[in-house]
Amino acid sequence: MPKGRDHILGRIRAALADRPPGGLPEDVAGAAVFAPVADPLARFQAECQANRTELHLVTAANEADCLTAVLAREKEGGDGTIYVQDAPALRALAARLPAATQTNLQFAPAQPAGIASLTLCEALVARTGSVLVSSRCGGRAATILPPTHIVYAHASQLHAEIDAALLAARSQSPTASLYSLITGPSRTSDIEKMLVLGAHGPKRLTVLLRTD
Amino acid sequence: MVTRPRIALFIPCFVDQLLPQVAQAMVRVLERVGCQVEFPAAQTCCGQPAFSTGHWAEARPLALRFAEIFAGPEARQSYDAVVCPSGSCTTMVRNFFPALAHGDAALAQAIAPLHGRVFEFSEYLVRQLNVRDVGASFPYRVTFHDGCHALRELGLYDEPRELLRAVRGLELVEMEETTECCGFGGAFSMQMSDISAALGQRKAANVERAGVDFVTSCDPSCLMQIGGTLARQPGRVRAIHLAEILAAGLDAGLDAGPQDSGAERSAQPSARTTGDAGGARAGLRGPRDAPPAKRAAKPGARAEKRP
Amino acid sequence: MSSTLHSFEQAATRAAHDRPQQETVRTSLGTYNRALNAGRERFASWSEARHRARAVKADAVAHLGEYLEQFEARITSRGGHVFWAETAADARDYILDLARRRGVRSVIKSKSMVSEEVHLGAALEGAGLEAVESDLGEFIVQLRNEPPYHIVTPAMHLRRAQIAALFQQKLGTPAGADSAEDLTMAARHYMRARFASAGMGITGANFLIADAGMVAITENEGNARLTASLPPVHVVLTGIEKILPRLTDLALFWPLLSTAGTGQAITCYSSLIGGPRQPGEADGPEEFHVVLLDNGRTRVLADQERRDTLQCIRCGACLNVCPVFHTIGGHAYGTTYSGPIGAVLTPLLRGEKEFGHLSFASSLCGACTEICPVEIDLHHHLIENRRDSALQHVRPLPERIGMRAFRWLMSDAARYARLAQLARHLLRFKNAWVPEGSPLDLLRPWTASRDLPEPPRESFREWWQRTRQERGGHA
Repeated sequence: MPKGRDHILGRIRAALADRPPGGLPEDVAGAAVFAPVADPLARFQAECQANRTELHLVTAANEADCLTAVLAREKEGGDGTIYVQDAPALRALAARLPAATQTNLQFAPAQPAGIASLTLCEALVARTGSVLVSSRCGGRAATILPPTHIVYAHASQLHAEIDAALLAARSQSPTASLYSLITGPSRTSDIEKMLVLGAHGPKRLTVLLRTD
Repeated sequence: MVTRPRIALFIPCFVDQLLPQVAQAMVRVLERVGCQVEFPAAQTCCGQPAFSTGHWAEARPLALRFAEIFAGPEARQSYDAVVCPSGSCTTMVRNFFPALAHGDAALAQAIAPLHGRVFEFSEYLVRQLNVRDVGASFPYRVTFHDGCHALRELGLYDEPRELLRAVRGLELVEMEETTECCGFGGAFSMQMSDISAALGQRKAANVERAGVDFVTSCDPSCLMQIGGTLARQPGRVRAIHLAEILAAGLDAGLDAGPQDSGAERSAQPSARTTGDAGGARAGLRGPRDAPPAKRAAKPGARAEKRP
Repeated sequence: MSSTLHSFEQAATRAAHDRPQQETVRTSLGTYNRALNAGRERFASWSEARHRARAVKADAVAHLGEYLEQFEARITSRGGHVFWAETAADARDYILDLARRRGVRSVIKSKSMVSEEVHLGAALEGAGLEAVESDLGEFIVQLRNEPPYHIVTPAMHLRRAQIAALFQQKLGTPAGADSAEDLTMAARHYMRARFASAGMGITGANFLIADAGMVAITENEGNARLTASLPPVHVVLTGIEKILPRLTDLALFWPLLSTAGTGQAITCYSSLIGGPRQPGEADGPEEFHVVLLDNGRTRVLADQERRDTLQCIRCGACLNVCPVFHTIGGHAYGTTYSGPIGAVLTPLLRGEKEFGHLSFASSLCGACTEICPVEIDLHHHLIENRRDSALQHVRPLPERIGMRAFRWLMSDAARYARLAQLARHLLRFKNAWVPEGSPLDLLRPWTASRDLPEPPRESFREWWQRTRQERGGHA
């Protein structure tokens, strides 16, 4: 087994005997490449609209009502369950939902997908209107399998750029085995370039963004 | 004190043999704008056919030969610049000679003085002489095809257009996909002729759709491909080199006298009136599509339809 | 003539006359082009972005060994496995052994060109495993039993009606369900069961991040996310050249790849995976394997001139702008990587003798080089490949003799002038007596579809000599 490793690394070393002097540019996505984001929240809103993320700006006072309204609209979903990431903030939020709402803190991909999942995120990216989740946000499947994915985030998690968001996620959840920058609902245009949402992942991506 | 720039003409071999009217037109325009023009008779071919098919060993001696003729000690004394009516052949000298000379010290040394001395025709007029209006008249709708080498290797886009816009009576119409390859590609046009022809037909269709009388370019090879394809189609658009348009309607008598039978084939109009489209009949489409008399009448007939 | 050349010529000729196919491809690429142009506007400077991307990838390639070791160490520290595969067979054997050891019966795959390169699908089937492609386009071509047409959009050559008929036949979808939405949902439904039952998920990788020790995967559908989430074993099959030095490089490379690939600002799912399920995580695979494939790449690395081809991020942009690809499509090449990058890379990876002709299937227009987001000098590499073909004497004898003759002819101006004059006479004679484009016409490859200018009686040099030198030089 290590034979292949030694051979390949040996060939690489031999091939690069004449290695040209190079250098790694700093700040590869800096102002010379992307114009700086002036107003991160406004940009995030605009990008979400463009990539079809449903964004709700909420406060402590109206977040439960907003979530209830979002969930009331969902029709699909086998057993009608909403999977909720087991986190204090989400437990508290779920407790304020109407009594009839079935919630489950253990996401089980083997069961029929429920209505939706409700998770936290690691960070938000204004430039692209994206949500950065990790495997610590309820697991890997919770953010990709259900027909609707609802993200509960705070405005303080908003970063202008992708690199800042990635570094924030790595320092918050250094041992996570997966990070995923999600930009809008799942989509494909493999058939005659026609856009269809919900190819394999969620058909709807909703962000509840606490601004208070 | 203004001195007349002394120009060595670099005439691609296929222009020399098949399209002399293009070179003649270039001579006329260069002289019109005050250049002193010479034709180094020892020149043959820059070697691009061998280079681009990979036969570099055959291309190297031709590059060396070219360098000696156009940039040897004597040539450097005699000429200020080398000007060529082909973006592609200019590219060969400017961009591909250095590749050929990689690892060949003698060739590298020989081609070094070519640096900064070889220019494509429209590039020379606009960038070197700062000339846009050469005094030409050409009252037709014209579209410009960007040859790939002129566009991507030499970075010429505005230069030919600026020259065309200054031509009296000329209406410049941009076609769709103007920067897409016409499919000529040198030996490619023969070796992969089905692909080449399909590309030529697409380009010709774009030309036709532009509703023009002429398609022009800085590259006579592209124009052979486009004009040759158009000739097989029912439309009446003709291919004509930029130099021929710029020579149209220039005051006769500056250079070629009436004894100059070459002018029959050149873009030089037979009459001084700018309305005469004599220049049109020397188009690259080739003379076989109609007898001369009929051809002479053809552009006029088109002109009548114009408001 | 090699068999690969022969089949290329046949397929290319057939495709060059297939106008409906070209229209389908052109329509698809028209949409792409509009998105690309809008996408580039999102950059303050697209050219600066390309320039920096080239610098980063050039550094990655120049320090490839160090970065790969760094990558491996991080993956291993999370309990993942890294296998170094020298050849396609090594990669296949490793994955088949793993499947056997884990008792895998069915495999779910997400798009990976390296898996096409090593013919993994056939190997899995040969071992009695069910292997389903989960990317919609890839699934469609799998159902048709054909290779992907394009490295990013595998089913771009097919019309909706063809796909609807295919799904009716193979998946039993109802006759009326033929909208893009219907067909996508049918595939989604079909695939969900496969995801749940698969014993192994196989993905490719877009980047290997050295400092983070993670695999970056770019996709829109979510199938790669599912492939990496649900099955108990996740295998990443990728080339050694996919290295990026730093996690933060993704701030450039994710938008760059998306823009060049589809015109999107960023794709829907840009994911990083660094190992199997970690302690405290709700789910994820028990085993995580990264197979790093050489398969000729180190040979390309040793080639100073064309080393930059290892910078390729497989965005497909060079295919999308290539007039030859527009005309002959992706299948005619008969190779995993088609279009300009395929025409440059395949002869380097698999030999000039069998694949050198691909470098000649280009008008050298340079549109590929102009668009390449990592500034690979593609069309000049095609000429270098041609040079190597000539040096290895794999070019046809008539061409070799012809070029010798060309050099002889052009080495003496008087000789050239005399013989060219003769040739003009012969050409006029031919034009008078041989019907143009007829089998007797030696210029038939040209004249079959195009006129050639009628040779003039007087060449330019003859005119010059007569008019200028007779009059005692210039005025």
